[in-house]
Amino acid sequence: MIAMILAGGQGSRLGKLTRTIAKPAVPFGGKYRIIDFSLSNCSNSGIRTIGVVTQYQPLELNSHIGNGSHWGLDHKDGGVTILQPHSSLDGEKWFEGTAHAIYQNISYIDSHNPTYLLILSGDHIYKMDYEHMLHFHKRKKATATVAVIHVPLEEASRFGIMNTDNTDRIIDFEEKPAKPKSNLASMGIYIFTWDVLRRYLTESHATGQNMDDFGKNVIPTFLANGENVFAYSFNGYWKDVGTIESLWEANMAFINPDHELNIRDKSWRIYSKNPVAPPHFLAKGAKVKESLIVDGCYISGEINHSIISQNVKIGANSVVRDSIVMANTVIGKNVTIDRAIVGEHAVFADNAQIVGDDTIEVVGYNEIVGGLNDEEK
Amino acid sequence: MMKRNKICGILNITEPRVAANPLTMNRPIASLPFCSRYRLIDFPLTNLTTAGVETIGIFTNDNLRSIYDHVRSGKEWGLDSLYGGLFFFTDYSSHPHDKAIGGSREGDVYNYYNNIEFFEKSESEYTVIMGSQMLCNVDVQAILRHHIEQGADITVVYKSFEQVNKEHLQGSCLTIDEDGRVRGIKSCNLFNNAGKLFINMEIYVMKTHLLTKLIRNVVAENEHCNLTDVLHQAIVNLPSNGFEYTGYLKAIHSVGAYYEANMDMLHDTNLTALLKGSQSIHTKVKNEAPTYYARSSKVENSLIANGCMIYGDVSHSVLFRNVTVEKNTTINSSVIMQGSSIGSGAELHYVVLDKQVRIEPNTKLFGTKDKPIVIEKNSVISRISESNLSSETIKFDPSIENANTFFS
Repeated sequence: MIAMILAGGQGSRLGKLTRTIAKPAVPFGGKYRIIDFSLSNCSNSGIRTIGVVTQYQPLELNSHIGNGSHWGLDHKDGGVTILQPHSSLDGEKWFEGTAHAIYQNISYIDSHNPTYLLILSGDHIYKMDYEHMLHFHKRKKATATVAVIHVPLEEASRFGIMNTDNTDRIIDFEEKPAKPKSNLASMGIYIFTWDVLRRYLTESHATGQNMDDFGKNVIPTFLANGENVFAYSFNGYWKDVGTIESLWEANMAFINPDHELNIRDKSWRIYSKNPVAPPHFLAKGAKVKESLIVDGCYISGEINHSIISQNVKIGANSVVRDSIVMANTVIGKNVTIDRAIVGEHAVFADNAQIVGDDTIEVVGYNEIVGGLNDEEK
Repeated sequence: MMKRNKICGILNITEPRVAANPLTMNRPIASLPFCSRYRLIDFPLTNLTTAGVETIGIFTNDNLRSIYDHVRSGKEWGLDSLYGGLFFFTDYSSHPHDKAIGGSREGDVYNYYNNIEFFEKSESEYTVIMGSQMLCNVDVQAILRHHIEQGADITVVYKSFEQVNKEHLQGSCLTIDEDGRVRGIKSCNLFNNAGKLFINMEIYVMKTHLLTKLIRNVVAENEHCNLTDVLHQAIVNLPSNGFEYTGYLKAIHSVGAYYEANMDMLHDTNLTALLKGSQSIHTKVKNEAPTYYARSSKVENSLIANGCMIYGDVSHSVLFRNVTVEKNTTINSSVIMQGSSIGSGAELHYVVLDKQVRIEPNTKLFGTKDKPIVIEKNSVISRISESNLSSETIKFDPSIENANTFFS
């Protein structure tokens, strides 16, 4: 089985945080990027060949992934390949949707000649053994398997909802139904028997009825044609951090050492690209409570219920509360940051204040906060 | 830009390790863990690779496991490229007894002689020789430039100290005239207290063919000695220049010096000089979670690595990766290595815990600044054993808990 990670999405609801980088490259939890979870899951599940499909603002993502060595994926055969849209004699090939992105990369997939194809999105926080899902797919003799998670019924209308019979066979699929019949939400994780999916994609393309999207087109077509489509139930933590609020909430919950994700579990590590940095230093006067801190930081101020990423400097008498501070940010003295997400390489002048309320404040990458010069005063 | 293979590096880590026992009982000095996430060998390795050295030979007469486990292909230092790379040379002829004292009777020069092909194959014009006992962060390119400009046969790096420091007494000191020429060398403890001391940092630059000639000559005369002896003689007999290093230096000749070096890093000037300067020190990357500070924790003036869980009080201390500090503990002026855990109610003052030590709840250990208590790797210390511990280096029966020593 090989995997294709769809990492081309913009994640426009993340505002400033995805203005210059793709959603899968958005930092999470102090030392990870969102895509680290899918990549680490692949590595831990024993998948050795992974295509990462990128499109929107891929620079940061591409340099993060590199040759995949940080996830132990720099294999002699296979490994990680970044797949970007390209032009050809048929014209330009921007990816029109999830299934279209797969269609455009058929030659890459064919070159590895897989029996099964795992399709993932690069923008969810979760730990999952894809090997289990493959066993399920084989046992059910499915041609398509969709991973699903139980969501509260009142939230079900935000998701693609699968209605199943008592053998887990999907009998009906509804995209964001107003009146959901079940609470089994699609996680955007699919296993297909490759030659079947390949036939549907090429035939639909040949007849001009493009199947651009897995949820909207491919799964309904499979169902309509009586294919064996099954729902694989996943129990565990799974989070779509698609909005500023959900990203902030997921990070805040992640601070708890008893968090369901169990990030310290050595048997299922989440890997990332680790920059070289000395240990972090808590200076005299530092007060750090209920927080996560990583290498390279220099902290003199007060940190309360926050996540501080690599190489952040926080000056004396500054207070950071209920916030996420991303890497390489410099915070001066007497600064207050409360209920905020601070992007990488931001700079806070002495006495600056960023205080969120019901809506979380966001400071963009490289943004400078406070510090009017004399003329401006 | 530098021509490929212009310079080849020698890591001479046949340093006698008995000095820093028990920390060096089962590892060479080069693999002593340092400052939360490094090992001493990271410093010379980084200095060499940052200067563009692509071929490095590691010469040792010791157990290679901890070194090899840490360095592997040299990937973290960019040494896993098509060109050059890392080469390991062990003194396979040395007797078990010699290994125990950390040096062979014949001297390590035979290890160099037996592998002289390495120097010839490297086709490098210059060779830099470094060890790991002199903890420093040197600019090898600057030394090489100085060497070429001055036109001496050998350039040796030194640091000038105003007064004698006890941990330098085991090393050698140079006499250098106003022109920077080396005039003499003798053991530092033979110098009286007056005036400056020029500590020999055991870092040398010379033409590769000169080095091979020196090694061949010694072997031809059937002399038994170490490479450092050969070099000490050569810098006096051949036109040699000193290169003054002005950064942070600590000679790790004892547990005391090791402890002090860690404590030194709590001062920003030292940390910046050694770790945050123009060359950031590379080390083996581990994927640890961020460190968690609980509401009950209180941490000040301390260096902490990733992966720790801290519920208690830590001050003026250096914590390595994956250390757990339970509630109501006090850790002060201590060095706590990777994977150790400190039970609730415990109190540690002036203590060095080697890797994976377990301090049971309510155990109290009081060392002193000059004589920190050192606890061996994998020990379990409880209130019962605590009474036997004085402010001395303690030897523990390794049978107490010796599991899992292999994967260090």
